Amino acid sequence: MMASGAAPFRETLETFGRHGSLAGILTRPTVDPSSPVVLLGAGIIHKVGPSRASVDLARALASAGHPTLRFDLSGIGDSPRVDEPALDRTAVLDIRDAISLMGDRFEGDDDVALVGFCSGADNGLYVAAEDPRVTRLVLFDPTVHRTKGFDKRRRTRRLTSARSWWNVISGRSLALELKDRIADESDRPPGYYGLLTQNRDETDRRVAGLVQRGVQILYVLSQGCHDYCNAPEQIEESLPTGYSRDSISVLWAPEMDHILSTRDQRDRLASAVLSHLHDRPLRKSEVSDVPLRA
Amino acid sequence: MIQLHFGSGRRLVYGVYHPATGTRLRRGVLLLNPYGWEALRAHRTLRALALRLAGGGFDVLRFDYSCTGDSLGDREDASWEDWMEDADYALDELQSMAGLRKVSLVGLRMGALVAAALADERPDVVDRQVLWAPPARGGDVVRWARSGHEGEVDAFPIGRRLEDQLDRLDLAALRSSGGLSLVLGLGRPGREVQSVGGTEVITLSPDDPHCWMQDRDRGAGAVPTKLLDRIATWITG
Repeated sequence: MMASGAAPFRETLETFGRHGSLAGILTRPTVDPSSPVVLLGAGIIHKVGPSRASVDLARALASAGHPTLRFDLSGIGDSPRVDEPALDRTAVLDIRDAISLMGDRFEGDDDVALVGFCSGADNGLYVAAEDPRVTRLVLFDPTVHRTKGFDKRRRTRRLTSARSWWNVISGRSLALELKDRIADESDRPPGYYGLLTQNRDETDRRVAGLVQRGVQILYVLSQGCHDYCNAPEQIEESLPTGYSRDSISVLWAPEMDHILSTRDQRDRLASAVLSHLHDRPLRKSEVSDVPLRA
Repeated sequence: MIQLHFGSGRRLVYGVYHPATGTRLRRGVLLLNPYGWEALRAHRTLRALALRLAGGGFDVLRFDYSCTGDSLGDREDASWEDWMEDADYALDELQSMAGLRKVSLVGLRMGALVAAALADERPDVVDRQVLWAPPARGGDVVRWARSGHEGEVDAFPIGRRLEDQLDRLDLAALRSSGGLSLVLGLGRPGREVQSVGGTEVITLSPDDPHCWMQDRDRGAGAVPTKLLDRIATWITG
């Protein structure tokens, strides 16, 4: 148990889950708590998050009344590996255990929000579709499937980009493409990333189920996803049956990077998450087209 | 593994205690983090070292300096004297929890500087210290913090006050006491192990100075197991 001077939150250390082995930190408000939040980490970064963003976000949300849990999946950070047959299923069970912990500690356990970073966002989408206790989702740079619109926009930008023309003339484009094709498979990122990433149809089906259930979803797309998502409308394009304007919001944020490296970026994310939790619509400027960085 | 908070009421620090799991040696090891993005990337390696040491009979404590990691405080408020106080508290905490008289230190990068300074202050407690890829001067810590990828550098700024404090630190001036030392750093090829006075110097292979980093070259999760074994063996004595 602890308190930090006059800070509007306090933090408790939690060891929880079906094996009693998951390590987490629960940041609690010092006022009556609102709906709880579970943060889902990125890749193999431990529970402090990229650029310590999970720590800052948990404290910002708790300061606004939302108890927030950050924790390590089994085998990552301070949570030991557990002996279970399927790694992806272990991640699902770990996240469910985290939701249960928040349900046990706070009333209204059927109103839990998941906020996921990168692969944590993919994990959140996957679990939320199977767990009726989740009512809100924030997906920071999740997998967004490529669409015809993506290809068309990319071609258009290349045609109007001086750098692209220089790459063609100098032969750099060909060299890069060859390098990509002959790259040793062992040089690829291992399976830790996108553990629960689904194919496009499966993602669409899961989002459709969430929308039908009334789950509110906020996509936050930083410049870190521009290699695979080059416009906010790609969310709608990639979810032909699941997309719903009433249930899905998109914060197109090219001024943010993938690791939320500055305080401004982290503050803006906290503000967007709080707006989402409190049913405040995002400002028009946040959901409309913003010029893409070159 | 036990998560804990310790330190003063003013500034609580997050730590993880690994009680000995093997035959208990009644000896302790305190692990000291690097700074900033280096600490983020070293987490997996230091945890693996803690598990190895605990398996070998040591009681081990690792922790996040205040204003870093899971500890309380904003990064902008970080200061060297607070970090030294944190390390001092950590040493007391480990002694008290495990009932130990002597503790060894392992400091990685900036943590090596903390280890050397702590050994200087507490020679009665510190019996061995491992200085892993240490900076020659505190200014190196500032340079390293500012030489990561662009975003990583922005994420862990070093303010003027902390920079001034680090700039005044010199490893050679600190390494005057604190029992036996093992320095893991770059050295002359062909002379892997050198002994200078009470200091044993192991030379890392030139292509492996950053073997402690997770995600290095996209090899997520790899830890330098052989080097960790060597560290554990040396501390065991």
